[in-house]
Amino acid sequence: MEIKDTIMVATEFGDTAGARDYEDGDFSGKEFYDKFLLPRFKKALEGNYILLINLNGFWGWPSSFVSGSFGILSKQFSSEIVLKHIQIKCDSNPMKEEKAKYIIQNPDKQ
Amino acid sequence: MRKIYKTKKWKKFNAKRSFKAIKNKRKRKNKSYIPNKITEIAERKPLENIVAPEEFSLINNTEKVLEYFQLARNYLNLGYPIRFDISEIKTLTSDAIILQIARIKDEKFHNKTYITGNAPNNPELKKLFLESGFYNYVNTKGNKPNGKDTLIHKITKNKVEPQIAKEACIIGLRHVFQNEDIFDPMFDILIEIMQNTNNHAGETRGEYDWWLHIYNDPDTGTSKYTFLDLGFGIFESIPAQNFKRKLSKAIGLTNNTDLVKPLFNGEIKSRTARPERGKGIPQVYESSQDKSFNEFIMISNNVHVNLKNLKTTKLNYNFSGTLFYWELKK
Repeated sequence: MEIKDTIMVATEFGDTAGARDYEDGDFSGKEFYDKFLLPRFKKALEGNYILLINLNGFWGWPSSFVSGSFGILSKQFSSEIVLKHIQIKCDSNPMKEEKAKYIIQNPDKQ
Repeated sequence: MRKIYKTKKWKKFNAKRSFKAIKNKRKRKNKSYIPNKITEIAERKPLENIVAPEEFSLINNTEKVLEYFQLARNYLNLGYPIRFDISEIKTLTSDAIILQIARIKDEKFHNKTYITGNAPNNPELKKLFLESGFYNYVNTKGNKPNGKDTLIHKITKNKVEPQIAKEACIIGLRHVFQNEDIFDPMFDILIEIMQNTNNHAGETRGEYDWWLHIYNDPDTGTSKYTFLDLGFGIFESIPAQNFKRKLSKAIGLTNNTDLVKPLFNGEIKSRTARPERGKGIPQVYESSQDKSFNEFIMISNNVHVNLKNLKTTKLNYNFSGTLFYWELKK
């Protein structure tokens, strides 16, 4: 499967991660999920391709944000499907990919 | 005469009105004179001088500083105006300054009673105090001394503010590392503690403000961060209290220091009891282990804990709120 779409998070969504829900404040994980992750993921699923999440230039990766976005996606579609259609890239901090994978695999733990 | 004044209806109305007017006039005439009661003038209570401990540092001299604020609170509750007297202090750290600002601005603390204060006599401490931005938050005679641009302090209501978190990171990174490269551990800490205040400092979301202060120390080349709220405190929050109840049922009486490890391990769930929640403070603990943090202290309720080595101290005085202090170093 090839990468056919990329979300440049820092430029498309905003350069900072917020907390979990809308009521926590701006740039929440739920906001990212609703406006970017879910619609683009659905397209990737329909088109059977990989969606790349590029985190270069994006500040932070707090558990509440990742859980409020990737955790919800994993609960909705299952971790296998999400990991099949999503790749995460962050040149400055490759640990961000690991953390997201962990939350996708354990959406109830984080 | 107009026809209307001859009607029966008019005559009846007019008679009634006249009768009422005469009755009211009589009433006024017979009213006995009661002079105004002399209102008692509340006795003005004398100004109480509250002397700060010589080592004016919450992180290093926690008990004495909490005692100082407790004494002030007691007088304020009794309606005595107070003076925060820090003239004779010998040492000063930025966390104590920001706590003093937050207390002065806290209505539950000052109880609408007058608070005044002074600055340290020691010239070096006075410089730090003036540059801290303290005077931006209080009324003062004459010109307000300007804070240096190396210090910021923010107050916001009820929200997580990612852009402030980023700005706060950059201010320290510029000073310590001379760059503005993304430093995720500190950014994540700021987001999680802002969220913790937003979600858990009060009974409802966003009940308490949070304060953030950064001091770029020119002598040590470190940046000193203080973040605080004056809410319930972590150990008096609903999730911690629920956990404490369960623990005391299982193993008997517990005190707040017993909750430190479960808190950092993520065993204390958030009030929603959803398994994916309640991970904010564990993330703060995990990120605090980064080698760029020289010191990492949390003070909440009657607990003082060093996150770097988990050294935990039970305090005699209660700090109603939560304070995080850390130093960023090269």
